Amino acid sequence: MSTPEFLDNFNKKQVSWMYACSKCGECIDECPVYQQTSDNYTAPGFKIKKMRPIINKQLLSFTSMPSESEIKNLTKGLYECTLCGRCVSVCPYQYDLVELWEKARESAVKMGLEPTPIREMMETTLTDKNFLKRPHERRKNWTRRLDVPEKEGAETLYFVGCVTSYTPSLRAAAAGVTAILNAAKEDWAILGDEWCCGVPLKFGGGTERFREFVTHNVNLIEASGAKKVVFSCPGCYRMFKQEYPKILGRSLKFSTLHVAELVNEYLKVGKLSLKEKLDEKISYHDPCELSRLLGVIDEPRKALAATSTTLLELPENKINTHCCGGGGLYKGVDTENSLEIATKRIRQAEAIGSETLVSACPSCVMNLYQSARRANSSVQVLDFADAISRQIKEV
Amino acid sequence: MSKTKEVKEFEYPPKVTFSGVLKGLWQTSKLDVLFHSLMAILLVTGLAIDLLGFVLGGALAPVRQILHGYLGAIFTIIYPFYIIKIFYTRKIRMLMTGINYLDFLLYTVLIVTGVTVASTNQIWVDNLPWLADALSSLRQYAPSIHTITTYVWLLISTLLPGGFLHGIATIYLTSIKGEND
Amino acid sequence: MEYAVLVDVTKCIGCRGCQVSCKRWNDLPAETTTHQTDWTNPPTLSYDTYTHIQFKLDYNKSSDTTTWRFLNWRCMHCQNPACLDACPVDAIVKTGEGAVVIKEDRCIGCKYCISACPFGIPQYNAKLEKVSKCHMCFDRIQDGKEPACVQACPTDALVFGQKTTIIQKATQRKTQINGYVYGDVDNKPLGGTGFIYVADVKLQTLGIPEVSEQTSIDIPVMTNSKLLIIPAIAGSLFYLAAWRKRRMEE
Repeated sequence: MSTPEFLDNFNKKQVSWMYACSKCGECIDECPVYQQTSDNYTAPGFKIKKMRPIINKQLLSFTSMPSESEIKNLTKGLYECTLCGRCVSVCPYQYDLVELWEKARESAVKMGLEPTPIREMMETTLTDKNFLKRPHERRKNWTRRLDVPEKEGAETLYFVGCVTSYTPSLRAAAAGVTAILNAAKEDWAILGDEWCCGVPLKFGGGTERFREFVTHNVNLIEASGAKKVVFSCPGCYRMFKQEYPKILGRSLKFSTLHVAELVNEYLKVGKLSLKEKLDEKISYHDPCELSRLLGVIDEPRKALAATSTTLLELPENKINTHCCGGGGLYKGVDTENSLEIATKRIRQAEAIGSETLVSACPSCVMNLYQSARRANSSVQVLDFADAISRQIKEV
Repeated sequence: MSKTKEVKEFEYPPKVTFSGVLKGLWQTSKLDVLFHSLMAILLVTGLAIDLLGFVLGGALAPVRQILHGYLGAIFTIIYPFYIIKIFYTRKIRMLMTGINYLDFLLYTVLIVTGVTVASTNQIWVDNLPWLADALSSLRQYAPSIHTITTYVWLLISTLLPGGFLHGIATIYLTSIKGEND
Repeated sequence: MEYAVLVDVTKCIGCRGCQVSCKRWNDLPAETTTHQTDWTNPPTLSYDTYTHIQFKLDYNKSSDTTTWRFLNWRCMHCQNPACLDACPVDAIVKTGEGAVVIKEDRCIGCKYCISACPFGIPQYNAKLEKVSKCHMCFDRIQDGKEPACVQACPTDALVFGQKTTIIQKATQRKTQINGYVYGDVDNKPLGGTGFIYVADVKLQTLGIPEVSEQTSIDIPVMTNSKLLIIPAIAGSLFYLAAWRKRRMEE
């Protein structure tokens, strides 16, 4: 195979999907990006409609290929997507569209059609081992003045993630996890040389180099002898849980869990005690990756219900959660609309009278926090670990 | 966002099963369930009469009368609602392609010619003289147009990316349950 | 041995004996009708009325004369019946004697024959969902008898005999009255008819339609359109081959 053609990496499954799609349009009304932009090219079903002629040409060489400008529009639309999975959940076929978008992005990268911010994010991930263009040596700077062990042989490892490591406003999240693990007297540590989990490469379409990050992280963790790995970020968590074993061709030699699941466990067995409940109205925003794509829905709620007297439910919650707009590298592609989508969520929190909005994903927290400030909202946005750690009762 | 859909249960990665697809079809649009079931029965019975008539003879009478005739009447009645729904719903309009419009045209021809044939000497047409008048010019050609349109539709659905490809793609996906990367 | 019937319009007195005898032989019920402005009764053919006499009143204004003609109307028993070609279940046959017969046990009531017949002869019964028409008393013919209507006719307006003889008689009669023939003589509707009409005026003025020798294109289209399945199957095989080929290249 000499020169790559757009979408020539589609296998039987993806090709079949082009024709099995029943054009019902259910995915369109529910897409958070389409709801925000009303741009047809951001609508999932429309993207499939635009991809179909390309696949037609693969099967019937005499049909015509769409024009270059059409392919450009299609590619642009492919990256205007948070990979939130809402389209998958409402599709009557239950087709894995997230996988489809990732495959299409992979092809776009091979053709050099990805948007510049995406290319930059992937390049910096490769060189700096994080997608925020920060120096790799400063990845552990967040641990300053915190009691964070760094040793071999710990039973539990805390995988911090890029956003939590480098973003100042998310430092409280990392500090929160630290406090929780220490309060529970867990035998834990962080990795000596943690690299990005590889999400920017997987979501960006640079899947060829994804493997390097998988092997690096897994080798380090397995070499350290850790039994379980705790995550702040559902993105990293899902990569480890669902994607890493596929790449390695085997299951991981350690278990993985999100800090919300860990806290829930601690509270159940009494390893963690909380102070008296705050007389506060809080609500919980389900991160798409954690609730819809991983199924972790009740644990964060149980834990938060132990911190506050009133836990309100947002509309469009649990597996119907309304995306914060920050996922799928969308924030880098269209920051303005990404924040507008988050603002909708802030408004929903205001509408139910929630004083604090908690979320268990650093990207969600970042997007919600920034949009709350932009919108001059009184809603306080907190990370889950941060919220929990504030209520830890020192024994 | 007034009318957001509430999904009751979801599992990721999802499984694509045939029963799941039927359930999804039922939950998404009952009108579509009706439409497609009727269409399938009409196609099969019509082909049975035309292709197996020489061997099955009179045994096909109830097939033609009830399954093809009365169900065809029901199909005729719901068809305008179906078309209106499609053209009225923005998200569906956005996804319609040429083959869909062609299909709609052919269905319209089948319905008009079918009603014409059914109306010959029928009692109900006496109450609708305007209809009888309108269809009278078609009467002689209606059976042949009805028959050939069916085969033209079949041919188009097979050669152009239409119903045939949709069918086998669905069968393939449900057979691998959406897994198998 | 092919038979035919000569219908001599000039000899018909409109006694309707043919209507009655047809009903008697075929055990057909009577029909309740309301009086129309003309005497044709029943006004149209139906499932239970295989033949009737059409009363044609011809008033000539200039000469102030009235002429009555009585036209016996029923299936023409064509050589190449359009109804036979149109029937999807082969319920219509042409017997060796020339009768075109609908076999009701095979009939599925699809009414293709009704649309196909250029004379508009086959009639449908909505309750029984079957079609019927005159069958030239093929059972009587095969038994060496004449059709019931022919036997009943008092004036020999209906004459039954071998086709060649009937054609001869028709031509003779036409010359005799300086009239016109419709049927298997000069023009041959659908290859020629089994009922041949002779009258003193053009039969078309009495309401018999002009029908060409061949069926119109739609009947062959209808019967042969199923051949389109062949390219459809070829197309689907092509897709499967293209699918396989694409897999090989992977």
